[in-house]
Amino acid sequence: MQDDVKTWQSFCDGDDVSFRDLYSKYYTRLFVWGCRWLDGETAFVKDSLHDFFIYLWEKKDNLSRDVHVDKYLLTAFKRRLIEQWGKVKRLDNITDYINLSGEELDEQAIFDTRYSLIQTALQQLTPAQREVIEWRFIKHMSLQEIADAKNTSLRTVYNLTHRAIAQLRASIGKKNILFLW
Amino acid sequence: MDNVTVEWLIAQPSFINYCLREHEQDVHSWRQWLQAHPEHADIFNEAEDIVKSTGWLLVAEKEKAGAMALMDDYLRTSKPRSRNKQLYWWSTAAAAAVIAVLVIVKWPTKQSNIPTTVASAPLQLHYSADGSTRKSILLPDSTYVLLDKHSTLDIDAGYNTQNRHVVLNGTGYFKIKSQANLPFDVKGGDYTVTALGTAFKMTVTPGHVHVMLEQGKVKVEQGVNEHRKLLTYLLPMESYNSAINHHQSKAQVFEQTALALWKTEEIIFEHTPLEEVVAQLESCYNVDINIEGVDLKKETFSGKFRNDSLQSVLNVLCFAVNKQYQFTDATSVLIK
Repeated sequence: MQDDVKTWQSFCDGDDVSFRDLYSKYYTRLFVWGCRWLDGETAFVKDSLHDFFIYLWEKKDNLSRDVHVDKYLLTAFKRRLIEQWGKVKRLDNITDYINLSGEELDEQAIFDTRYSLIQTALQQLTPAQREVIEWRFIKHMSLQEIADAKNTSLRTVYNLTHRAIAQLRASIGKKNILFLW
Repeated sequence: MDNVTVEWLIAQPSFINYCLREHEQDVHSWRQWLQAHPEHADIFNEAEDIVKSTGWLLVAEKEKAGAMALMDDYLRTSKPRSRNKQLYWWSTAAAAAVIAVLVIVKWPTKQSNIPTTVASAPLQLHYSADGSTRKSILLPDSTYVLLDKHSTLDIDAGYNTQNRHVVLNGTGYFKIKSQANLPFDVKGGDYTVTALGTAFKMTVTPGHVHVMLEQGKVKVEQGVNEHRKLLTYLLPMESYNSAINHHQSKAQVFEQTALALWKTEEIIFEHTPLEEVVAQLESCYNVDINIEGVDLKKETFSGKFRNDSLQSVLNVLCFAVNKQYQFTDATSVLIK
């Protein structure tokens, strides 16, 4: 965390390498949080995240140097994301959705530790497992469609998918009541 | 229903469908199931969160490299340019109706020379043209591809949803539908060419790249992901050849004739839907073709042309579909 503060302050001083490091470090977790807030509007979240960091870069001279970096990024990103979403969708009363609840701040604290577990778990999948998971969850292909594409049996794809998800679950730990990213 | 666990839920294909909001029947069934079993709500929500979040994390990981490259572009250009200029640049790309690209990639003959980053990319679709004929393809975003003989094209799993990455082995002609939020890029060996509202030709030989820009703008980079190094931007009718330019980013001028000849060298249709016929003729002859009174998706056309003029091709096509053609201006043809 202390490193984050140094990186943040260096970015505020105009160091683009530090800015880039922050973007790289927080990209995935802010992306996933954005998808949770907007229930899977991935394209919108992707564009908003890019715009958010450009906004930070342009406003770097006016940003507070003394911030809790992860909480600040999470809160500020949520505010901009929901505001932009409200404009696009012409929503009223979006203020209620903007402020992070105490519960979400608690979630965010847990997120840091859980995050590395999940990434490790994904890395531990075999290439075949990872492939079926990506096709299933990103392309939304059915098991039959995956079987056809891979020229294999439905049962093989079913087993691969099941084992992959089970391994993810096992890697992350069964003690957690909530699966919080 | 006492043994309801997260593992049991995520093992049900219909539950995955529910989480992805696919198949109305499954969505409806699981909503009803949850109403009937409120005691399992926590486990149900946890399982749904696992499925959704796994998908989002995977999407994020796939998007990250492109996002970093885009940010690098911004940082590189934000010093002399304002942000508005940067956005304008991309919106210009969006305004272009279509953009065309010709890419030639010559892979190293030894397998060991192929960069693993390209080979390991998750692939959704694989196209190949054998040694006898070229192959024409319409991609999901209506981008048209003409694959030369002995060539292959791999389309990324997230094509047209998360990205527009393609990997070419051999020679291909691309006529790209412009989308501001999804730049189109072609990987060949260690090089990446990104279309920014553009028509270009690209040749990759072991260790080198040769790019010829027909119209618009292209960005040529070397390296992988965030380690990509910008080689050059090109203006129309300029080319960049790393074998000649070495570390310089100096552009040279080229004649368009060679490109035009290559495109019309051989055009073969075999029961090809008229939609693809039109796309290919528009690409090869740089014209707009409108056909009236014909269902482009249902009607097909067969014919072989070698170094023929557009008029010759149109004569045969119009005879086949029992229509007549006329030029409404220098680059627009109306068939009715």
